[in-house]
Amino acid sequence: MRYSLEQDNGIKVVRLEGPTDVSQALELRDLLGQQIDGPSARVLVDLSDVTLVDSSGVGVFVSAHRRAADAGAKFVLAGPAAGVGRVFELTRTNRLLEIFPSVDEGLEALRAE
Amino acid sequence: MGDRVSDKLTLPAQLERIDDARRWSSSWAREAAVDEDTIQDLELAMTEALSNTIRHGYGEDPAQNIELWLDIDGQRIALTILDRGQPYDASQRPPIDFDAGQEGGYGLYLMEQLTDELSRTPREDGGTLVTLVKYRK
Repeated sequence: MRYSLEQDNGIKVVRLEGPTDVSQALELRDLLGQQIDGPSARVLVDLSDVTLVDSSGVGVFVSAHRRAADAGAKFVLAGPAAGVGRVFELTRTNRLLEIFPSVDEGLEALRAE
Repeated sequence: MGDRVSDKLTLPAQLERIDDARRWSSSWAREAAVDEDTIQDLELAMTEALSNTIRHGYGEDPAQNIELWLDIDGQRIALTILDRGQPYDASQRPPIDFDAGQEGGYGLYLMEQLTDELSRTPREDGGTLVTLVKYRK
């Protein structure tokens, strides 16, 4: 799994790259779980360079969202390309997950928290 | 619309090799000038099909093989996936509760949504033949 981690004014930015599929689901679940480490955690996953998200990837994001909600933390997705955004629409998980069109919009929303 | 393409790929039943299948099918599809939306839909449908086959059919046994055939002509792009693993009875799957925020169970549903034709046929000698078809725009 290709990714990088950055901090932006206390917001943890997880930048994923390439396909996010079943072969990386466990590693991604662990990675996101580590970032959601308490009620003050604010985590943004940058999907700008993600080429594909499959149902396993959707499941990992739903799980992370739930984990963050349970902890009182914030977890958002940002910048999905049209094809990637479509999988959230088809599974209707876009009604549950917080998905921002761009990273800047996602960061702005988290800063306002 | 490009010439007709037919090719075959054999993969071990490893989740890490699904990316090879995507690269293979998409490379041929781009060469045949298939549009990117269609390529993306087929990539995702194929990923779900292979994920099911590798995890449920073969229990992620890398000693087992999956055979894929790709057939592209002026009207459609068809991908056939043959395995000899444990067949999965799709009629037994529970319905998706879209209000529940499920973390799984979307695979077959996505395959149905992303293809124009989908068939899953149990084979007499064991295993399953899955065919995914997208019509060209």
